[in-house]
Amino acid sequence: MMEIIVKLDDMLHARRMTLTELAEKVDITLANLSILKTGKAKAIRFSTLASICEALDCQPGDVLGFGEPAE
Amino acid sequence: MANKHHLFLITGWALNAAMLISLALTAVLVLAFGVCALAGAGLIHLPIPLEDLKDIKDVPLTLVFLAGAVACASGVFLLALLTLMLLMTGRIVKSADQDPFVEDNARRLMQIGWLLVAMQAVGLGAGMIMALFPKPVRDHVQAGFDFSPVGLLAVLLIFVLAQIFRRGAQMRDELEGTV
Repeated sequence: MMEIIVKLDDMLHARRMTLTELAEKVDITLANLSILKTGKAKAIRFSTLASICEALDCQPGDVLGFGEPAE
Repeated sequence: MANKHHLFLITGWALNAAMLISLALTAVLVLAFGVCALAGAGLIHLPIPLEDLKDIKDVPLTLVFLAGAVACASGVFLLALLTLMLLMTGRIVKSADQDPFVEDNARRLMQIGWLLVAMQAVGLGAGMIMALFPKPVRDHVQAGFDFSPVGLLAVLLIFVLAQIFRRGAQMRDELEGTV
């Protein structure tokens, strides 16, 4: 089943940033970011996506993708 | 916010008090049912002042006690259902302080709806049984009620509310997964 996959891990690695640092920068709780990173989130607000893109200086497509979920 | 908390607290207390009263009344009615049944079977003799029975002196006393037993039994059933309903309502009110939009509350509302249906059925049944007794007896012993449109409306409203709560629980679930 194809689905939306979150590539936050790769982006964080590329920017040499930890999840905690990102949480501080975008003002989202670490718990919520973890939910997003582990692919357990059912939906993402545009505002959340915008903050993440701003903090990581990237496009939504850099953080999100569509494909087979990695096991 | 504080007012809302007080409202839930006071409602919870009122429901608990109503439940206690309902249970006490149930006990009294169970006792009354026992007395009526025993007296109806002729196992005990109740001293009843004759002047009170002027208009039912042609009717066998057994019939009066039987009617009393039916009335008490229907009362016990109604109160038992009412107690269950108060218990469910109490649980919903308790959850209202934290998060009322859970599947449990939808289920509880459905159960309250069915309890209301059962209460209507018991009341109707008791009313139909009482109609079998002769008029003088019915003048003295009253139980049950006729079909009530308001009761039916209440049942429908509760069922609709249950569905609203179910939808609320689904929306809450979705919101939980939103970051």
